[in-house]
Amino acid sequence: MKKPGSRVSSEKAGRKLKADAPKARGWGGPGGRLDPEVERWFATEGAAFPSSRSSIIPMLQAAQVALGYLPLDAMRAIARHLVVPPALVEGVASFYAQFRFNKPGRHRVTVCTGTACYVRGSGKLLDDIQADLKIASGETTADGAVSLESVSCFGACALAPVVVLDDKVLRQQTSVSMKKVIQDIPSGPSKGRSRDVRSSPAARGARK
Amino acid sequence: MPNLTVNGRTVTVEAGKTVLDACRTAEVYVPTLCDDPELEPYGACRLCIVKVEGMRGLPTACTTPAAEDMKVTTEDPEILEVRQWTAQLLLADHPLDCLTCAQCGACGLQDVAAHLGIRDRVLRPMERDAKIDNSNACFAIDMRRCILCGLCVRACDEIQHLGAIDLVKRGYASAVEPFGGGPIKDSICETCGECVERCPTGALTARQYLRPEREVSTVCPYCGTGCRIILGARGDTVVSARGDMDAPISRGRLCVKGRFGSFEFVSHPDRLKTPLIRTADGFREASWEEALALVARELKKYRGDAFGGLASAKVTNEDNYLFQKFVRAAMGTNNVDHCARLCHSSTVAGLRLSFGSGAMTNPADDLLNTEVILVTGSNTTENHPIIGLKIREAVARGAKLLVFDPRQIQLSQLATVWARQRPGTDVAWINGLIHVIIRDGLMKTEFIEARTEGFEAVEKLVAAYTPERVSEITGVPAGLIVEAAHVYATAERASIVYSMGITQHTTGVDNVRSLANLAMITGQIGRPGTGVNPLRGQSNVQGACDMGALPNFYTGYQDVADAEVRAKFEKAWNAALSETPGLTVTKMLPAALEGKIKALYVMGENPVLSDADVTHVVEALENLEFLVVQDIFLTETAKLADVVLPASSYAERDGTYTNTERRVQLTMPVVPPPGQARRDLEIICELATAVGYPMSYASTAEINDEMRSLTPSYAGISHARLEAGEQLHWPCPTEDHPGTPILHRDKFARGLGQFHPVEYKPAAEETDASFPIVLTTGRMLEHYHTGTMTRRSDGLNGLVPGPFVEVNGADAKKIRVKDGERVKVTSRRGSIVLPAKVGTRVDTGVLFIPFHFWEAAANVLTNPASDPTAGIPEFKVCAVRLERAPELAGSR
Repeated sequence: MKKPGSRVSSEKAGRKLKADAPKARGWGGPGGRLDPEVERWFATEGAAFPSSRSSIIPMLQAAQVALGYLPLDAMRAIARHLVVPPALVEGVASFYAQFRFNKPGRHRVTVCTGTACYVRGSGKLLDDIQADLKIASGETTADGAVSLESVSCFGACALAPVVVLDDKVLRQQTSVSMKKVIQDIPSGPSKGRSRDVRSSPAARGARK
Repeated sequence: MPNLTVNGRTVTVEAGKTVLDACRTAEVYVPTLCDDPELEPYGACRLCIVKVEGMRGLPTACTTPAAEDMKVTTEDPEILEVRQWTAQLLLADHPLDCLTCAQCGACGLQDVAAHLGIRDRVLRPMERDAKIDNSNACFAIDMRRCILCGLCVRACDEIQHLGAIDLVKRGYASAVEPFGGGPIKDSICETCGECVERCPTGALTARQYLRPEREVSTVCPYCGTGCRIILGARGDTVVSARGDMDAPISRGRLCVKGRFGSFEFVSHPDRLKTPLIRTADGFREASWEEALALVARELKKYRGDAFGGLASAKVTNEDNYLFQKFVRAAMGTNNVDHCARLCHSSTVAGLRLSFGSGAMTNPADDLLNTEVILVTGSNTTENHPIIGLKIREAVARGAKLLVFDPRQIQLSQLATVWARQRPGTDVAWINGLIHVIIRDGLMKTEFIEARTEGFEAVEKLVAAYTPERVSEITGVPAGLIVEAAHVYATAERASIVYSMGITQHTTGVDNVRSLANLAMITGQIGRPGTGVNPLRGQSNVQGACDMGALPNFYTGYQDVADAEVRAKFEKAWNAALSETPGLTVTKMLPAALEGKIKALYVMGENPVLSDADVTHVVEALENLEFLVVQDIFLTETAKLADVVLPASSYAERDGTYTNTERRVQLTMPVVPPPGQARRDLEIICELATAVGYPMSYASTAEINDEMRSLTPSYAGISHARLEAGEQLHWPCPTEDHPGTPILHRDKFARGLGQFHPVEYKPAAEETDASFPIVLTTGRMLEHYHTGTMTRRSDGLNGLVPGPFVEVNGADAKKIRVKDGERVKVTSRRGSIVLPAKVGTRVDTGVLFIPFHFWEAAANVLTNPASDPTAGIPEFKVCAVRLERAPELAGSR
């Protein structure tokens, strides 16, 4: 099917790059002016990262903590800093479930669908919450108040089924109790900064 | 070199090769879908699994290095079963509408399924529900057919060095996408087609393609890089184009014009098929006898300096040789020129004065072995894309890039230093670099003393060009001048690449000589990886100059004023030749306006769109008593002609072209000319005979032999040697000479390199209150020259259908114009209305307009003021005013 031939010729071996040799490419787009919030993040935090490919994930994480999600401009800023194509940054980011690409709601409801929680009815719980909020898991309500997510285990199986509202762990929830929780969600933002549950102290605390 | 056995057969492969290479050496077929000889091993498709004695499991052959004494088994029932299941997984989400798929018959997946004997799809079909991305006019993306082999992503990264697409998401959601999800047209994709070329399935397919009956390797008709294209034909129609892997300069690479836009125009219905003669109300078709008799009758009246001829940078050396011979020997004048006047005449003049030879000093591949590349006035990735690739590859290998360009071109994003000089201030920044190099003791004194003369004058002059003063003139921060000077001067090997941003100024020759000074002061010339490298803009513009289609030179830059040279040509051509140098294009047209030039013969040029100040060009052509145009389309210039002669395109001729590196390449015809159209050299011969100077040749090789006998620099470059596959760069004085890829090695062509002090002079037209903005013009990736060929390609025209002006956001805001809205651009010579492309590509106070579009011809605006030595017009600087378009003027 393909031509036989010199595939790993000595010339090619000689050209093998160091992992972090600067790659010849632009970050694209004639513009270059990014969203002001992204520029602010980049100036205060992003620019300090070493300009090497190994910074991609740490930078994505830092950007998400600061901005709440990864807008395209954040990935553009990272690509520009690392002199890699933005498509590569998006390729890496989109592989990991920890990164979000849409602006999150002011509050986050995370339902555990891990084995223990599932056995204790979190499947139905999630269905009911979806019906109450009129969104699917992974989406945000139209008014931008609530985002709904599911995770596969908090490590808090003794409290199953677990729901986390923002940073607060809610133990042994039912469809009825959740209805009330959702009704009581204030329309304003939560007091604490909305953080990624996987790294939040609450989540870590709950594991004990 | 490891020896190993494949299925019991012993093979030897080079160290560093893989087991897959060993299998191929042993001529054993191993199915694979993700391997490509030009890309790094990847191991995605898992089909090339084999058994290696002593190794656990089933390693993929493509990623396993071949080692001594390996015993490889490529087929057994277990391997077959695993491969079958792997293929079944691929087929589970692949549509089975093979008969109507564009890739049918050339599909890698079909090959694999056939090889593995798959008769049925055993897994539950889970076809992806993806929309076809039809946004790109040259190729279509159908993600339903994608098998995620990654070939496209890797080609974009490893070959094109761009990374426009990547694999995103994971699991069933995995897809190949541009940044942000598409459509592809809105991404940084350059439509080079390397991905389309490699896609094993119908996921990426060219829109214009029919399987050819026969294929012929020819030279691309566009820029001066000289890539080779394999054109495919069916009957008399060219139906396909692909890169020629054996081509020395392009090695299979092509840009969007070469791959998708190089064949449609050849068989376009607009092609001229019969001679046309002007009548009171247009043109009528005529026979060759009638047309040639009419032209001959008219031209006989204007023999001597009332006649002028414009040769062409798009036809072969042989065609150009005959054309200038016709003008000189049959018509008795040196009034012959061509559009090199408009692009690199300042290079030919400037480098000749400084070095003794007016051409690129080093081959393009040298860019891969250099440490520093200084690019100025060349948007290389758009206008010489395959040389641009070499620059990107060099940067990927660690070379440093210095870019001096008023526009934020793609290369500026990869540059160590990107400086945005004000248009027309090049001498100042180059002198600034030289100042810093001398100040900081970075010059190569030994080289200067041994190889050059006149250094002291330059030293004295640049003393005044302190970085601070240069910064004031050019707008480039002083720090960047110092940094660039240090990076360039301290490199072991540094190369200068430039193009029309340097040459198309009233100070064009000064600019070129300044660059020559810079190279000489640092000794960055005459060695591999160094040099001063002007990139020529048309497929045979170097050849047309070499062939003497210039008013002051015979072939090989032999001076027409030199009596000895003239005597040689008079003897060979058996005709009395004029001793007065002729008029340049830029002087011929004003002379036509004054009535001094009465008849003009234009071969394959379109001055109505390409020359500065179009309004005057048209007036001049209309003032002629007789205009004959020989072309393949009825161009804007041909529409003004008295007689139009139908000529042949690049796909219909044989002969040689000389690329920008002085490399001479042979080409062969793919199809015959359409209708009654004829070869250019046939037409010239018949015209010459008809005006009483008989010319006839049995073959292009015979013309080439005559030319070589008169031209020392081409003397050794015979068709026979080229046919045998020799790669020859002129000068090549004898048939056993290997050619000269690198000029000025041990001494300069003129003996000592000549330093020339150059003082900064402002552009001919400066901005003022009524014309406050600087306009600069140029080309773009998707179109070529006056668009006669590229705008007849649905693909290229679909990508960029019309004119635009690049405007900085701040300037657009001032006149309340948004991206895409129409604006009026006015200069002292005229005005055009066209849509604005708002962004940061140009700085405030600067506009850029590509000159390809007749609807809004940039050259209506440009200033015909020209360089005193070279006669090149100042296309890169003129003062203009920017306003809202008349139709918008009332609103808001």
